[in-house]
Amino acid sequence: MNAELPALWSALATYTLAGSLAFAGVASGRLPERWVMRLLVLGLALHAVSIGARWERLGHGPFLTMYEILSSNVWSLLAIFVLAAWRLPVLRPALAIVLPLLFVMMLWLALQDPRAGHLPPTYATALLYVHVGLGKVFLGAVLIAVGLGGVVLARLTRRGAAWFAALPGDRQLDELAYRFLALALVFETLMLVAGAVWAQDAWGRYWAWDPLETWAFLTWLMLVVALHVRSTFRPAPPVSAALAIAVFVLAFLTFFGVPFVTTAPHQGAI
Amino acid sequence: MRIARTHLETPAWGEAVARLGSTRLALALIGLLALGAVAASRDAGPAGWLLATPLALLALNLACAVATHASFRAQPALLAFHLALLAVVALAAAGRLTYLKGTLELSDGEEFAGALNQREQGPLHGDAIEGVAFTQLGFTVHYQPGMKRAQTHARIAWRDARGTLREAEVGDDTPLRLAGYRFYTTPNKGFAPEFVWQGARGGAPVRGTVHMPSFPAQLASQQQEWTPPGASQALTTRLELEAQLVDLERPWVLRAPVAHALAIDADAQRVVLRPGESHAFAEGTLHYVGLRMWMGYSVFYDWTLPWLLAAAVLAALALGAHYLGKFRREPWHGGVAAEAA
Repeated sequence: MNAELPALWSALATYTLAGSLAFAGVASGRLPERWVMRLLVLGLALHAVSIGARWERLGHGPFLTMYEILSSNVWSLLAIFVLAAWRLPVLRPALAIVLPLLFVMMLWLALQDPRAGHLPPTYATALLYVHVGLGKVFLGAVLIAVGLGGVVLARLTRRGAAWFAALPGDRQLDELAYRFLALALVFETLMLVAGAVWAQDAWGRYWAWDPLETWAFLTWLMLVVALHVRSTFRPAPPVSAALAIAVFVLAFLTFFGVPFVTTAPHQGAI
Repeated sequence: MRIARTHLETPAWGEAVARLGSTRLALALIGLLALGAVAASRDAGPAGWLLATPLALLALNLACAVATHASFRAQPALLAFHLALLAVVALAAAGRLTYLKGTLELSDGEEFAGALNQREQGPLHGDAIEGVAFTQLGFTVHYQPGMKRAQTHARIAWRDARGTLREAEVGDDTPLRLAGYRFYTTPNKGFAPEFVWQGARGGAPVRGTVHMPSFPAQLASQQQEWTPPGASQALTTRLELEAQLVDLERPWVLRAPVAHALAIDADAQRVVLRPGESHAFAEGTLHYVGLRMWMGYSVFYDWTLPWLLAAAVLAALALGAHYLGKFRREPWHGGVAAEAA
C-alpha cells in the first residue's frame, strides 16, 4: 500500500496536536516548548515520507498541482520555522501566531485533488528545483518575520501582552523580524534570477510580465519598501510588523492565489 | 539653525542632488514602478513608458543617493548591491533597444535563410539574422496519454564559420544557438504536403509545401486553402489520415510518414491524391510528392543576457554579504534597550 496519503494524514494530525499544545501553552503561560517541537519534528518526518513516496511514484518533485504546491509549502514553511526556532528559542511562542496560517493551508490541502499532473518537458531541469527551493526559503523567512510581527501586534491587546510577556521587548523582536525580512530579500532576489534563467529556455524569454512574474516582482518591491522604511525611518514596531504582514500577503497571493486567476505558463499549462 | 547652516555650507546643486537621492523619493518611485508593472502585465496602453519612466527616475535617484549618502561609502557591499541594480536597469534598457523576437515555420528539409513570419525588435537591432542559415532535417514529438505533449526532438543542420557541416538535436528548452540568436521549437507544428506545380502556360515547375493547421491542436480541421504560384483560383486541400494517429489512452509519437490521402477541391470538383499522383486542373498540373512535417520556431536575441545574469547574481550576493556583515557586527538582542512588553 502506498504510504503517501496515510503519512500525510498522520502528519496533519500531528501538526494539529502540536498547534493545540502551543495555543494552550501560550494562553496558560506555560508553553511546553520541547513537546511542541518534538511533535512538529515528528509531523515533518511523516510529511516527508508522504512527499517522498509521491516523488518516487511520479518521478518528479512536488511543484505541479495545487495539492503538491500546498503540501510541499506546508512542509517547507514548518521545517524552516522549526529549524529557526531550534536555533532561536525566542521564536517558539510565535508558533501560536504562525500555526493558524499553516492550518488554513493544511485545510486547503485536505480539500485538494491528489491526482498527478502532467510534467511539461521544460520542467525536467535542475534549475526548477533551485528556483523552487529559493522561493521556499524566501517564504519561510517572511513567515518568521510575520510570526514576530504578530507577537508585536498581539501585545497591543491586554490578553496578547499577557500571553507573550516572557518574550523580549518589541524593539528587539522588530530587529529580529527585520533580519528575517533581509534574508527573505536575498532569497527572493535569487529566486527571481533563477526563475528568469529557467524561463529563458523554458518559454523563450526571461521575463514577460506574466501574472506570476508580475506578482513576484510586486512582492519584491514591497519587501524593498519594508526594509527601506525600517532602516531609514525607524518606525514603531507595530508599523514594521504591518509591513511584514503586507509582504507576506503579497507573497501568499503570488504563491497560491495567482494560479486561480490565470492559465499562464507558470501554472504548467504549456 | 541646522537648516540655515546647511544652506550656507552646501551649494544649491548639492542640495538638489541630495533631494533627488532621498529615500522618500525612492519609495514614491517604487510605487510608480509597481503601477507600471501592473500596466505591463495587463498590456495596457504605453506600458513600456510606464515601466521605463519610473525605472529611469529610480536609476537617477539611486545615482544621486550613491553620490550623497555617506552610508554607501561606509558599506562597500551595500554600494556594490545598488551599483549592480543600476547595471541591471542599464542592461535591460540596452536589451530593449537591441532585442529581437520572432517566429518562423520550417518544413522538413527546408532551409531557414533569415525570413521571419512575425518579428518584433528594438530600434537598434541590425539585420544580422539575415546571415543566419540552418536546415531542419526532421523532428518527433512524444505525447503522453490524454494528449499531453512531452519531449520534442528536432534535428538541425548548419554550416559553421569554417564551412563545416554541423548537426545537432534541439527541442523544448534546448535551443539552437547561432550568431547570438536562440531558436526554440514550439508546440506549433503539423503536416506539410509537398507539391510540384506546373502552370498551364508553361514556365518552370515550382516545388513547395503547404502548412496544414497545427497538429494535434486542430486535429479536426486539417484543411488549408492556398493558391498555386501564378494561378488565380484557390485550392482547398484537406488531409485525410487513414490510421488513428492520436491515442488518448497510450503514449504515441508524432512523426512522418503516416498513411493518408489528400482531398483537393477546385473547379467544383473533388480530387483525391496520394503520394506520387498528379492531377491537371484548369490552370496547371499539381503533382503531390508526399507528406512532410513543419515545425514552428520562436527566435530570441538579446546580447545582454549573460551580463544581466552576472549583474543580478552580483546584486544578490552583495546584498547577502552586506546583511551578513551588518548582522554579525550587531547582535539582534544587543544595542537596543530592553523595554517592557
